[in-house]
Amino acid sequence: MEQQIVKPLSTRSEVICLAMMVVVVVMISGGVIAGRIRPNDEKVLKPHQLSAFRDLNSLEQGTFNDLYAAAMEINELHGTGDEEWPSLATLEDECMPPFVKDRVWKKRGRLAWEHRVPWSGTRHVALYLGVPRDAGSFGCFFLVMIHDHAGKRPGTETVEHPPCEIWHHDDVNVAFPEIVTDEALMVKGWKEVVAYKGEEEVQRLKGDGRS
Amino acid sequence: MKLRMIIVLTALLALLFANGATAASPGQRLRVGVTLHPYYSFVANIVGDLAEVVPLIKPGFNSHAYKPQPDDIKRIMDLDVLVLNGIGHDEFAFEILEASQMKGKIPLIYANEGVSLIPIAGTGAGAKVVNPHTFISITASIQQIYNISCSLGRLDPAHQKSYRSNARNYVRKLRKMKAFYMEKLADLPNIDFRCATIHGGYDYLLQEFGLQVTVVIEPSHGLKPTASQLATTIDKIRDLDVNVIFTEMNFPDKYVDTIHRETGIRIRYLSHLTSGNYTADDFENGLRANIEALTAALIESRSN
Repeated sequence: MEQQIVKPLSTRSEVICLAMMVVVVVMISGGVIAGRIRPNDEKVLKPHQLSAFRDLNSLEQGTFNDLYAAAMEINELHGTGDEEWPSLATLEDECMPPFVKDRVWKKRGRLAWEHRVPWSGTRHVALYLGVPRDAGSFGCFFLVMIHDHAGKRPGTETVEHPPCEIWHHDDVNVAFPEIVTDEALMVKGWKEVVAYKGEEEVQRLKGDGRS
Repeated sequence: MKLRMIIVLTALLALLFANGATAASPGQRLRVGVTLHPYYSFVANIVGDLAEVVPLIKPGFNSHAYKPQPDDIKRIMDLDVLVLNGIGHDEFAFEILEASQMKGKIPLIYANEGVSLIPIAGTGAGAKVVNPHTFISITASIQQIYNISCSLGRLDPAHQKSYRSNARNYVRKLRKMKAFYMEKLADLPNIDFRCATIHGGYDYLLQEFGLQVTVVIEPSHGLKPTASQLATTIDKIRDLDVNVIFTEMNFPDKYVDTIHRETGIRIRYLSHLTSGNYTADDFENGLRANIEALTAALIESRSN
């Protein structure tokens, strides 16, 4: 009688095959997920710059955002009528934060504002310095409005967003800057505060595909 | 025969120029599309009667979960320009642009271009996430109003001055509204006000009142907390001595009742400002109601 031994069918190859498929699926999924992750890639700041989004505490961030919006309005007020820069009294009358002395102004360190308009050739500059009266985690803010009058020649009068800069200093005893070039401010310990803007976020979300 | 040819050619040229005319042809009213309710109000106040404001989607839809409809595609094809948030809440606009093959053919005004953004409260220092709710505020809205006004002025130079002047007046009106409520709070002592919100939608508004969210209840915008997350949140609300919970006026959730039952903390309602009819004063009215709720909560917290 002939005897034949039949070995039980091994599942080893199926297990290996399945494991390999799982590894492949996980690797592909991981690659796709990694490719779709969109980090908050804020632009690289220079050593003399601070990010309003990341580096300021909540109260200072509020002051910065108010000042940033106020710069747009100051520009509008300047751009109409006799092109005078608005005084602190005007800004307060307009209830414009952070100049208006309301509850939030008190909470954010009672910034005492000083306004100067130096004349420097073709560039018309307005300066607004806010120094906190209260001790706490508040620094000084310095708004520099730069209006290039050369751009107001006939046909080029649409200077809609003249450059404005906002600088920050930790020392509340800082003097009013006499020279307002980047280098002079940096030497005196000022840091330029940079906003994380909607256009950067749109770029991050939509890439170059934005219409 | 020659005369007929000239007439046909003239007619063809006229048609060509009609199609190729820019949005700001003299005497032509711009058709400005908008994605969300606040942008309807912003644009309506900027343009007045000088342009037509067209909502991209009909009222009554939740912008968070909107799927484009065939009518939207027809509507977008008649627009001269589209104003959108661009950093959240109006993703449907990009789907409509794709579906209608209008991408790249219609100018887009990103209202938040140039707006200074803040992170969602509660996100850690290493992973700050951008808060897209810039339209639930006065300060960030002012920045958007000026951005929109400048962009519309570039598209429609004939009305640029009017747009700028209208924008200035509208901004002034909004600022005065805030000042009115600030006046009510002027004598309030400096209290440690702690609030919980359903999602991070109110960070901009709270920031301009010098406040910060203590606890955010939803683990992510639009995502309901699980039972264990809810239990943790309730413990946190108790531990941190929260004064008030701000919940969403138009999208009520049952878990808010659970938190209220467990903690006894007062509930106040805020609006996301993206529902109801599209009107010029919709934003102003909605924001006023939000500021009133906030003011009332602050005054109540003094008596607690």
